[in-house]
Amino acid sequence: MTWPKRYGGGEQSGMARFVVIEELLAAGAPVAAHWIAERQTGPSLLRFGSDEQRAKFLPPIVRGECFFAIGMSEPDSGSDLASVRTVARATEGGWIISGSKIWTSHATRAHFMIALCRSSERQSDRHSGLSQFIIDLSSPDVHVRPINLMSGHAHFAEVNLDSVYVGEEMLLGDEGSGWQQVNAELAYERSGPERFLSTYPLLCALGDVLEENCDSFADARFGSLVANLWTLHSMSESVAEQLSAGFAPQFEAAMVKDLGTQFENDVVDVASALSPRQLLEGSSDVFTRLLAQSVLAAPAFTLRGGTTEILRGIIAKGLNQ
Amino acid sequence: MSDEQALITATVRRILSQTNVRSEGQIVVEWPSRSWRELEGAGLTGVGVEEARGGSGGSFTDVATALFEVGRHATLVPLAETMLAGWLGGRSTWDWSGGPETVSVGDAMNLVVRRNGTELQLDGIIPAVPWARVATRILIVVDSEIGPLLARLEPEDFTIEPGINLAGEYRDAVVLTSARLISDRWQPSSATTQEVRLRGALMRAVSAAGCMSSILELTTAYAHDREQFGRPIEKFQAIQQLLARLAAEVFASSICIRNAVTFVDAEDGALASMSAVVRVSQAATNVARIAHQIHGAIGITEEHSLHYFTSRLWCWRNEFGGETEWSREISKYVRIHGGVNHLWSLMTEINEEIS
Repeated sequence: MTWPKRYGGGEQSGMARFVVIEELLAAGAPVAAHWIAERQTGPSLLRFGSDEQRAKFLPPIVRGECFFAIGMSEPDSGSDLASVRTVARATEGGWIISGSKIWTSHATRAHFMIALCRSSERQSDRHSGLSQFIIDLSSPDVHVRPINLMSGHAHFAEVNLDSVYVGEEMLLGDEGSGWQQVNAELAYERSGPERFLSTYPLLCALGDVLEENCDSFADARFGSLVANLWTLHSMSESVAEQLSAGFAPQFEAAMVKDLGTQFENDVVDVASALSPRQLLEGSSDVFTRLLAQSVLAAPAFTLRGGTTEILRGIIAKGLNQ
Repeated sequence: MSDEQALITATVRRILSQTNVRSEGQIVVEWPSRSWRELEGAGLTGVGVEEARGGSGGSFTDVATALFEVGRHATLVPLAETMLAGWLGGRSTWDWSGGPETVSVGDAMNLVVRRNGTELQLDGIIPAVPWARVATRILIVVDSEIGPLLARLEPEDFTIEPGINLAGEYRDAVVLTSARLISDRWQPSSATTQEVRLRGALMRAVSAAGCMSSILELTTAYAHDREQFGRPIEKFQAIQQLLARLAAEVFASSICIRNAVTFVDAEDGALASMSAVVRVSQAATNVARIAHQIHGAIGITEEHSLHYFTSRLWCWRNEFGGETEWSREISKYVRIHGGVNHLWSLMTEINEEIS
């Protein structure tokens, strides 16, 4: 919506986009395939990408034909992202990339992945020497293995990069600036309405259940959830305003994600406490089904996109500035 | 912030920063206090009251700007009460008295109202009326069989049983023994008791947000200066986790206050106000607890200033209905306004226009 018209975008404001994605999530729309490319790949390409990269990737993303995955975490690099070991070695006309990425959402379906790699020897500043590369996931040297979660669904995958050759035109931004580029991406990743609306359908279903059977205790718990939902909606909107005005409010974004993902868990806990059910994922009753799904999904809320503890470390450091 | 609000902030700050909160603390102060006289002199006590009624004019955003500063300085002044009375009186036919004024919502449990022709007779004890002993008049809103009534009490109508809350603020019982009010001292109230309580609770929440911003400053400074195990305690992850939670609570409070204030006079702005009151109440509890934990033993001494702020949070979170009552009201509001299927539009389709 916000991208330049020459790439098929609408040149709308960031706030217009905020309203639309919030409405999509509140309605429980299926948005996953397009989500990452629209939320962070596109903005990254617009900010750091070359003219060729923008012309190649942005129009198919706009048409909904090209999906991206985020190649940040590795088996030994979770919260400590700067320790990534995937290596990019310069070769004639491009780079050879070797290593392994994990917890990559929808990598089985995505067409490309932007991988954070170490492109030069580690020095005293561990944040230097990192670069981002656009990798074609259909390349024969890329092996994608789905990871089944406890829910039985394969949301994540492990991506093995077995000496994958990428042309030099697939380096995103400047060599060695990967850390700064990744952090710019994270402000988009952390403050959006997807960080407090994951369990909104369950909240609505709970409201329907309580409609028939409310008491003053249930009213107090439910009303408190609504107050928190309202607050998070306002906080996320305020961060979107700042992003739209060209600021990078990374501390505020971290606070939205921290409080937002706690709220998502609170919805599950309150729903379970106020209307306890047998947890049957296949139930024809909407509330029962959503409760069962949400119970299994909840532990991921405070992990994905930066764990609560890492976010709080970032916020605390921000207080010193 | 507009120029008007920046001026209010600067003026209130200048006046209140000269006040030593300690000297006006738990010790009964001589009235009128110096800070009140100065606020009055600067025209701040009449903010939000129309100039035609003797006030200084201005919007609720101006009111909130001043009340935030009162909380930020933990000052003992009945500014919120006078402003609430100014708003309530502005919906009546009466002029503004110049303050200090206060407001109380009577309920049938402790206040008996009888109509005698054109006279109103009041009997009962209204507990914990803020600043009653220094008020030039008390506006009472009470439900009756003909709808909510607004009554104007003057000092000769009642006696006072003095009370003081944990923050050192006057919370006096007002005793009414066959108080007779002639017809120009009472009239139907255009605001319901619920609306008055919500406006009062929102004003408290605004001041509480101001208190919290000071607590955040005090606490980050303390964690920076205090050393244990050879380094500042802010370097410890356990402390950082607490500081981050504290900051997030303060951020959440300031954002929901900002929204509630924007929509306060909108036709469907009540949900924003109620949500802010509930969220700030929760934040008050969390902020006070975390701030004391980080400050350690020094924070619970009389000598340290932290308690001037935390004691206000503990008191204010319970006034004009606390977290639980307003949470229930939110649930009722959602039910009345189309149920949970309309919740999203209730939140996102507020019309900013004044009803």
